[in-house]
Amino acid sequence: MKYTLKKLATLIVSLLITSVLTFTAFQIIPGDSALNALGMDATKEQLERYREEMGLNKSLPVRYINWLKGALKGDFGYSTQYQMQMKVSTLIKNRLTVTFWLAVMSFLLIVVISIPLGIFAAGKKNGIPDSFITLITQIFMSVPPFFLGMLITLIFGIILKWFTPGSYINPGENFGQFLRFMIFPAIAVAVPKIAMTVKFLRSSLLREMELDYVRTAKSKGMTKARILIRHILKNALIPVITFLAMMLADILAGAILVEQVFNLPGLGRLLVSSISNRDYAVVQAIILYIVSVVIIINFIVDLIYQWIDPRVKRD
Amino acid sequence: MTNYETLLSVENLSVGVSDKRKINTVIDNISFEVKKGEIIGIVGESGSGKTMTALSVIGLLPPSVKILSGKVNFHGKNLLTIEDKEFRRLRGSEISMVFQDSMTSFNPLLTIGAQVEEMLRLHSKYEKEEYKALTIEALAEVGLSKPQEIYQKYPHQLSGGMRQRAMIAMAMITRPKLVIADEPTTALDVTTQSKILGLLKKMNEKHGTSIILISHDLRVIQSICDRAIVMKDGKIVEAGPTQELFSDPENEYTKKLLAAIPVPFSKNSIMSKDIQNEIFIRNLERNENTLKKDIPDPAEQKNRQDDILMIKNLNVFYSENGKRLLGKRSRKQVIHNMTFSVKQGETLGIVGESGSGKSTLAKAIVGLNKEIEGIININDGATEGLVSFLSKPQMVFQDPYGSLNPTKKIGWILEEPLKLQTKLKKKERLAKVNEIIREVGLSTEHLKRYPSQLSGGQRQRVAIAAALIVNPKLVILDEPVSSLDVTIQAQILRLLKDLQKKYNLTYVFISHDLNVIFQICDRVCVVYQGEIVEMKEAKELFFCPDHEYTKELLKSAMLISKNCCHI
Repeated sequence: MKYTLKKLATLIVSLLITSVLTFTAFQIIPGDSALNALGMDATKEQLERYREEMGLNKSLPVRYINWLKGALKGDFGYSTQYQMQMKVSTLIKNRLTVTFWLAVMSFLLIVVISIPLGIFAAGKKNGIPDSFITLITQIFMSVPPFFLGMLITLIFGIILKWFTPGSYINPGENFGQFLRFMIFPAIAVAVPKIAMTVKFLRSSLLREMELDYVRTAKSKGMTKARILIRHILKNALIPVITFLAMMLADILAGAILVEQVFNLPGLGRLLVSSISNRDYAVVQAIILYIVSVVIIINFIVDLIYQWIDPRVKRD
Repeated sequence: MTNYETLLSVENLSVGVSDKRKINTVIDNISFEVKKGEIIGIVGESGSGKTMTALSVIGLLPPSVKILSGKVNFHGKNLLTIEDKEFRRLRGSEISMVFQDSMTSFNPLLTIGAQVEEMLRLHSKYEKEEYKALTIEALAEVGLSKPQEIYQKYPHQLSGGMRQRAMIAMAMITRPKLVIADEPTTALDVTTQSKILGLLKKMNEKHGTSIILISHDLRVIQSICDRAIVMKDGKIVEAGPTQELFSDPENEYTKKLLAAIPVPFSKNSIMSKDIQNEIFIRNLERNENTLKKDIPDPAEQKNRQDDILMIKNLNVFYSENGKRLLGKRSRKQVIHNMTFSVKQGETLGIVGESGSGKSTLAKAIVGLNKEIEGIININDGATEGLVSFLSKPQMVFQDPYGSLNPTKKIGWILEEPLKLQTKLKKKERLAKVNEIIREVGLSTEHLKRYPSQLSGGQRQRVAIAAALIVNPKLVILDEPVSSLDVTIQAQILRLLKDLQKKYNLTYVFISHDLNVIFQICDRVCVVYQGEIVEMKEAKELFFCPDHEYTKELLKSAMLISKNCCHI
């Protein structure tokens, strides 16, 4: 309990610090947001009025507090690239749905495929199946996801016609259709990460197999498979969990290239277009989101550790 | 003993490691028998093949090690030829094993109860509640108090002794016919050691279990074994009943092993009665003196000036970070109010069990621990900054594997302290390195090697050289021989004595092993839970200890070595 509270305190403090950093970073960037919003033709009076309206002429701490207050309520103001007609929060919310489901599906694929595969490879260490898996993972690890996306589009979209390339369906329209379409980008995101996880889990398992407690388990007369599942797996998963969490955070931050290939309205593409349009309110919100995701996932990993590893608690 | 029937017979067993087409034999044609209900000891130094022998009996040899020839008959079945499935059934139910390091030999993520119970589940069929009841019973049988609580605990929450008891409970819960105990007490304190050995003996008598006890420590073997086998370089050099074997050894190697056992005051043991009387009289005199209000005599005052290290009312603390929310540091006192001094040229022994604060004290003396209260006065000329040629106190650590940088050559390791602490030129430094390496009994050839290319004893010599190269007056030795084989131990102790004479060094010698302490120390200081409970001349402490704790320590040390005292 103490451990959880301590981690929770760390979580809150780090979230606050990152919000300060995110906010101040954008104050340092050159450029005038009033000028940016109103255009080069705006008169001095117009600019002044805009600054007054938006609270831009207040002091830095006050502006930070106002921004944070809004951010906590999910209000990041309006997006300039949509001529102040679109709320940043709605914009992000729509895009986030796509990124979220992409992350969920690809993460499920990673876990469901790589863990059994890693165990299988380690169990048959240096055998033919293991060498085969090692070779395949080696290849897939080096293929960039967007290229894989193109291959998937070619094979499943154009040749097999399992889906229509580029015909993204809005989840609000037809959720089933949406998920069906999303499977293919999810595969493109997941495959290289599956390869990495298999390799990582395999080596972690092999390292654990050398340890004394495995010899003890053998001396009890257990079968190899039973030792692997009951004793080794949990120990070997400890480093893998961190690895998986980092991947999840990575996917949640948006997969720009894959979104581009499959023409998905995801977070990554929004970030790119916002940066090129100097839409700072959106960029700021996305950065805050990405940082928070990483911190929160780390918090969850800490909680998982406490749950599986009794040594972490230390009462 | 001869009436017992044979349980296990090993016939002409040879085992080898295949290494790039070459086969290195690690066990060379050995044969021995284990009878029902006997405890047989296998003794030898590291690399003698004793563990490999055990692993081949239970079928757990690492994949790189192959059986070359021979038979291992257990109950009339040749274990080397039976099927895997059959062997697995035997493992745990008929033959089980107790390992050396109980911390790493348990799975850290499962409770002790789950791991002990697992053994039972694998080899018998009971109801769920019965499993638990039997496991708790087994934990109670090995002398663990509150077995219900222990059942729920994780390995890291128990002490080494408790874990080793749990391991014995695990090995014995299925009532196997043979238990192989591989260095079961090596990682433990002496008092715990003798308790664990006593437990093994008790289990052997109660259940008639045969035990193969493997140890590098002759004293352990002597304490409970009926018969013993001495191994060297994969061969059996001598075997026989323990009593005969060790009172009248025939083989040269056995003799050498026996001679290497640190025996307190072995040369004087015949005169021990006289010494005892002498000390007794001296004590009487001193008591009278103290009654006479102890007038400081001039000789004693002169001694005080020779004190190279003076410690007064020393308290050492240890802070733990962030136990509570938002990290209120909690402070633990490790050393309570210690006062002692060490004279020039003297060896002061500090003895105590692990956790008693010995190492903390050493670190405080050399300045590695800053959280201290009290006075540490080092009067070796170095701290005053007058004689730059002398150095601050140096330290030699226990683990010569861990304390030498594995990526640097020995020459570099020895030169480094000179670079840091002196302004000598490259040539002068090299000359000193060449001199010191010969001083510790190695050759300049060794300077070009990496630590991993040296043996444990050689590495410890390097560690000593690295400490001495900067000309310290005071050297703190923290368990310098604890991880070494007995014969090597004796060599290192001799080296330390020679160097002390030659350079007029002062040692603070820390050890948990009373026998080593008695071999080298002039005075001994017994530390218990951070306090000095007794401090005396070594001989006096040995023959008439005052404090209960010292007596207990001596008793356990002697219990183990009771047989070697009459050699």
